[in-house]
Amino acid sequence: MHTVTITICGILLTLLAAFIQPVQAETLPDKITIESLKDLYGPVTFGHAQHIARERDCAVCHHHTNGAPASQEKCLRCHRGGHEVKSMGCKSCHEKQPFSVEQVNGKFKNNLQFHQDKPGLKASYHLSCIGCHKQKGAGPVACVDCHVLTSSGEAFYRAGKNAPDPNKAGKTGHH
Amino acid sequence: MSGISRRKFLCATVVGGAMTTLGSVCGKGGKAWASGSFEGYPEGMGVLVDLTRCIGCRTCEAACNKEQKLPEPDQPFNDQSVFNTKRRTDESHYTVVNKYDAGQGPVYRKIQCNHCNEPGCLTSCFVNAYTKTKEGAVVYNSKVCVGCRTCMVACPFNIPAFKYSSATDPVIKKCIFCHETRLKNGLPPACVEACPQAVLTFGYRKDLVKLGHERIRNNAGRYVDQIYGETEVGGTGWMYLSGVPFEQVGFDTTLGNEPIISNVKDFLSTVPMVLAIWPALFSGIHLLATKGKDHGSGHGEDDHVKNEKEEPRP
Repeated sequence: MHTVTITICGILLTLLAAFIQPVQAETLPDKITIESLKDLYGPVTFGHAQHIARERDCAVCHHHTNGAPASQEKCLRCHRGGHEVKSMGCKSCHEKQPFSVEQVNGKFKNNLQFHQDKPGLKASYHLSCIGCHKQKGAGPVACVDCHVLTSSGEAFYRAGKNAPDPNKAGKTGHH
Repeated sequence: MSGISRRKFLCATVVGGAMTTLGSVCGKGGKAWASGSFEGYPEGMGVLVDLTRCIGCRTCEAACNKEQKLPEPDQPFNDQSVFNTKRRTDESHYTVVNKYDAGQGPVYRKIQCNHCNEPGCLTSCFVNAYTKTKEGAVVYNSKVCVGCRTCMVACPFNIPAFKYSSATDPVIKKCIFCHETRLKNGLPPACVEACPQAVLTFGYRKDLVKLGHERIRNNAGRYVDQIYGETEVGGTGWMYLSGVPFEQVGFDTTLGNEPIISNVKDFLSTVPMVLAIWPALFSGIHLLATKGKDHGSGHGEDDHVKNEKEEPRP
């Protein structure tokens, strides 16, 4: 009797293990270096492992793309089972140029209602990071918490060595 | 002497009045007064500004300064101390971000030209310095501008700014939707491309209206159920979504939905009539009223001449 129970349990566990795909720990990056704005800012290091440890649920950032059900209720109507995609990086869905002629013209061509308002790559990073950090009251929210200006960044913002001369202030414009 | 000069003056007035009338009739043909029901070019572009996303980083201001080759600012663009005052657009800032305290945390609001479907500035300009392009931008031609600054008064959003540093060569400065360098080539304006938070969404205006309503519906409780600019003053190219009532973050919610032209077209249509009829009418009345006195004044004139001759006598 005992052996039968143990065998059944064993079979069930094997089945369960087959259904719940084990996280491929060796393929998950611990740290991700984001350099898409490298002309203005130094690279930003994202603690992927640190966020997995805190968040547990991949769907918070990866929506429905890792095979797990989506975390947001409105997505669940279509993505209850999730569907795993080949590349889970943000940039495989979120465009670098969200306002290109093709994107702008094609915006309402598809009838995927919830995908029409998909932000571009840069905005996805910032909306996810800052949105979550603000909501949880933890993590960096100010620009300088993540970004170090490069010399061309300083020229763009007229900051650092490109800062305006305070003695000349008030010479331009009127208020 | 004075009688002759008065006659000359009256004559000149009538001729001048007639010429002005002719000019205004010709001008009217060129301008084609809008009826007040124009809903924008079908392919007109716009931007949807989502105030709930803005974090006040001022990157849009920096991008605008670079793209439009504007003068050096007083403070760096990453300096947050500018939020201590409410700024407005001027000759060296086509867009500014202001900070408002609206209960739950700060709300940042970017302002720039809203690129109205029926712009008040364009309506008010008597030399046709303004053009609404088919892409949706309201652009300005400094070559014909005479510097009257009526557009600054006509704009319901207080956007056009006068370049006081060159008053002899009048120039109005305002956001032109990056029309020359970007919009007419199908590219989004520099500020939209630079925004890290997708506060600014660029697209066809008609798509953005749909998108705005979808966003309100899909995020229950996040937004006030209104797109500012969808109908205000006849509709604007740049429209706003907000999480707090619009009047709390500096928007004028009393503008109504009628474009500026609807409020002034009755008046404007009387201007040519006034210019044509009034000089002749009042000249006639004046001539009639002073007909009898003319002889008298002629008499007085002689007296005056006599007196003048007499004056040198000691």
